[in-house]
Amino acid sequence: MAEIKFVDVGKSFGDNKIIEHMNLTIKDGSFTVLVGPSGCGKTTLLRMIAGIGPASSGQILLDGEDITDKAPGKRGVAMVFQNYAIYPTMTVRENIEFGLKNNHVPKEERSRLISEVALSVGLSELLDRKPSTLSGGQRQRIALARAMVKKPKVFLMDEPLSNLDAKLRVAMRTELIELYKKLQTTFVYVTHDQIEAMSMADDIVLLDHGKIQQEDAPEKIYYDPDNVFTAQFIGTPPMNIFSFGAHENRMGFRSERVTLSYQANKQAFFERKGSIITREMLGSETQYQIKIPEGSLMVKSLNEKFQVGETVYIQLQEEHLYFFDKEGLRIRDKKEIAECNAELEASHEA
Amino acid sequence: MRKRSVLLLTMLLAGSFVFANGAKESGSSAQSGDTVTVNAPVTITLWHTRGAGKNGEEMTAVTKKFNETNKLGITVEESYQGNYVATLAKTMQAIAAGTNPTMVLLERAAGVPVVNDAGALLDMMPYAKRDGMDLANFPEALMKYSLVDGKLITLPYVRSTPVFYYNKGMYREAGIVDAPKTIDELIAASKKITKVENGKTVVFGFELLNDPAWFIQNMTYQLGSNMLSADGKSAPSLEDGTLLKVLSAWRSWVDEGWCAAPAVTNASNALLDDFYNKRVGAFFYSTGGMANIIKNSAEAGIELGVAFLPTWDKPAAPVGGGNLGILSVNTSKQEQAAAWEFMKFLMEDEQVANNSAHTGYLPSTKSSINHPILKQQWAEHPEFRVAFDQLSIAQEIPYSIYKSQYEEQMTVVCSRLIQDRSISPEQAIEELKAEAVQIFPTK
Amino acid sequence: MTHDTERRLRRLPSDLIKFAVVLLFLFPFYWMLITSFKTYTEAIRFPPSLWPQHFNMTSYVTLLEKMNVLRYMKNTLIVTLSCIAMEMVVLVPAAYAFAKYEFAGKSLMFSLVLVAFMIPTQVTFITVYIMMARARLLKTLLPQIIPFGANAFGIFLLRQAFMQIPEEIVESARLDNASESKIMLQVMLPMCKSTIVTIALFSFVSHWNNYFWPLVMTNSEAVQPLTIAMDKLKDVEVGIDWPLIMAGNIVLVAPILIVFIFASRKIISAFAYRGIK
Repeated sequence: MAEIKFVDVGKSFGDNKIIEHMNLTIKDGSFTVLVGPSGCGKTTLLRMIAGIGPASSGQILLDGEDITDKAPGKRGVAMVFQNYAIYPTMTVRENIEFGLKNNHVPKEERSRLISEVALSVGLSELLDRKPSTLSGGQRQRIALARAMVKKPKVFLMDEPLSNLDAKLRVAMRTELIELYKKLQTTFVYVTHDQIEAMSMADDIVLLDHGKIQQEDAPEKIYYDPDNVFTAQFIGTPPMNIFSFGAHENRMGFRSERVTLSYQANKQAFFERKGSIITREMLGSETQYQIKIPEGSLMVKSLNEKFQVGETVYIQLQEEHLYFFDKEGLRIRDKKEIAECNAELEASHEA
Repeated sequence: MRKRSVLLLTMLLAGSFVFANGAKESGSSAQSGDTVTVNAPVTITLWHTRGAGKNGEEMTAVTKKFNETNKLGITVEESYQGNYVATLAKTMQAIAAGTNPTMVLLERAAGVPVVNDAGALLDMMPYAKRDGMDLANFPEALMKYSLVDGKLITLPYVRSTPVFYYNKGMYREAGIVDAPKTIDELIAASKKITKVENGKTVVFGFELLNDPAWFIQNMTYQLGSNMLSADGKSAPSLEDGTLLKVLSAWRSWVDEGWCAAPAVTNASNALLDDFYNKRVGAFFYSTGGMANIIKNSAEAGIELGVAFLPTWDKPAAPVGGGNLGILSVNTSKQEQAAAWEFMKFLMEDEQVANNSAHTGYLPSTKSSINHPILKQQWAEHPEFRVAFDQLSIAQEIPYSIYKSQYEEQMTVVCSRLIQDRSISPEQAIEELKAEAVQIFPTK
Repeated sequence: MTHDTERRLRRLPSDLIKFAVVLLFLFPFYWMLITSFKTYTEAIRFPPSLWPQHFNMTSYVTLLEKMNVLRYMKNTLIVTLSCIAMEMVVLVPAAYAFAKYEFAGKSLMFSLVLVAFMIPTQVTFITVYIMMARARLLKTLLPQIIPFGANAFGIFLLRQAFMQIPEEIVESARLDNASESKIMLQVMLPMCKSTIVTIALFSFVSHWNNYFWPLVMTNSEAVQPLTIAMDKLKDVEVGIDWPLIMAGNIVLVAPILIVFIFASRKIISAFAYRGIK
């Protein structure tokens, strides 16, 4: 069991409190992604697991054992850094070997492990090269190999793909997932890219300003956000959110749920008349920015025929509307939803 | 764990100071009148200033000879320490630290008084009496810093006197046959051989180096005064106008264009270079350089002449150089006795003769001039004889602990007067008087 | 004319200036070298000769046989190399600590290091001399080595170099279960080769040329270094033998030149290796 538990963990830098009273459990064997905007504390949490950025208060448990004060090298975790952090003066082989040597693994076993791991990341031909002679992608594999060869209980990854070009990034994403499936070890992955989070994670932990906004599987986060922040952070383009009504509640809907039409439709639960301000033809779909009385919204449509300046109607079904209270929290109570619907209809009539 | 190692370190440091105090030997400061005999092999050290070339070779050779021939198992380790100034400084420092050598070669006027004042020189008189050393065998002119208050504190070793070197060929071309005997003759001769081309002097008739305790002091002596008073506590030539006369003369010679001013750096060597290149016709210089000057003049194709120093009035010549002394502090009686043996050896005729013949230093004993080595050399090179003969008119500067300080100030003032030419002779005297007030004790 | 020729002609004035500057710096060494082979008379001749008439080896023979220059060189070599070794042993961990650790009084300690650097040897030599005398070390080479165990300049330079190494590499090494000394020696030090070479070079030159300290600390010829031996060559009363002094200086300077020539290659190759960011 390589379950990781944060118990009432806090972290401050001087007077600056980054994280307070953090309680989080990362399930054993899961691919958990810590995601959020810059400064939300995701890397801080990762470093606490690694032991290289210790907590100011609270405990961190790994496998039920309190590792809060344990040295990083003795925790059985491996980390892949954003900038790879490979040792530039050592060859690829020596880079991979370093941790094994420090753990007094005998020479023969070392060679065996190194060839194994080099083979699985495709570095077998390059073992005696120096990192300065290799490409970014290859260097990342070294970092990966170095982590893998230690057969850790937990893999920690700090934005490992952000330095790669777009195509390589997508390829590596797939490789990492395959690796995860093969190793079945706990992966804790930090990224600011919500697309990466959505595509790779078993569990997403969305953080903002040191607090967990939502902790769920990707579908749930996407289709059932707990708050406005989550709703707008996950999904491209962000969910359209508008204030309405006397209580300053908010309503939101995803841009791909909107139907665009030249005609009004009395069947539509929610309809507004608007004009097209911008049009972006992205190939498989077209994004329109539309102005309605409440403000502007983004619409993703498979229909590329609308043009800028045209008057259109936007239409939504009842089940595609989300309601949030004035603090941004999701309204889930059926009665309250009904009230909100009523208010909306009233404004529509008007 | 850390606290313990800090404590250990502190203790170690403290301990090393306490423990290491046992560097002083027992039986030090033996200034008593007893003599001992060397009864076991002993090693002694000698610090000296005899650097490279013939000078150092001579020192090494004679030390080796003593080590190989003495029957008492005495080994002398000689080591070069630098020039007189450096050696004196190191000796004084070593005395304070308890690491001084057994014997030391000191500049007689600047060095010996300082060390003697510290009470560190052994009185060798008991040894001299025991072994019957005839002190009259040493020329009186050389003994001024050896016999002080009835004590024998040093013996003359590498002594010199300046003589008048000149380019005989140049003189002959100008129609001068004999070397000048008086200052007036010097002025006339120098003017004659000075050559000026296109407003630039290409040959200077004469150059005087800035060595006030030698040349200037001697000139004031020739005029009947002296740089220092007999008790060493004041500067008579400064007050009675003789120094002003000499300095004014020197300045006027330079101003008139036939006397070269000494170079700012490496003046002695620049002077010798100029002489070999026939740019200077005559100069005063130590006899210690005689051997080299003879050799190099021959190579340069110059006919060398050597004569007594020209005089203002009463013929006189200064002496200089170094004396050997035995240190009485931090040395055992055995070491002192061994040092005396070496001292005796060095004063034997053969050693004195060799010393003089190989370097040009004065033979420091009267009997040594009868040694075949010197007889032969003087026959071949009569120039060497001149220095010894000049001893008959030698004078020694009075013993004073203020000498080196005063001399330093004189050098600075002369430099401004002659090289910079930024002050007049009268101003030079005034400045020197101001310095003298600081240096000498008030009456 | 072709573009290439045109470009070369345009570079000509700056090339000439560079050549002139090089000549200016090289000429004293050239003069030293040829003078060492001349006879005394030829050396002081005016106008001076730019090439010796006969190649006269007496100066070098004198140095080797009568002056025993090899013994002095041995002393200088031992002292210089020992000092460098000692300094490295001290300054690498010191720089590491100052660069990568936080500890109470850190800035105070660093200021002390800098202050110690600024105290001239003329202030401390008397006390040290007495210490060495009491510890009976004056007859050994140790007084010329021990006081130079710390090189504040080196600590400063290396600290800067260490500080430029990204923290992640150190963290990665910690995760690889490397001890601090391993991190220091196997990871960080190899990344700072050019700095180390620079420090060693400066140290080499300053210890090789050290005159004042050995003058004070050594009394016997067995432990005196080359610089003091050079002093011996000047005997002012007897007259300076220029070829001998020049030969002595060639002996003194040649090893430094050789070290520089070899080290410059190493420095260039060390700079050519560009660490990965």
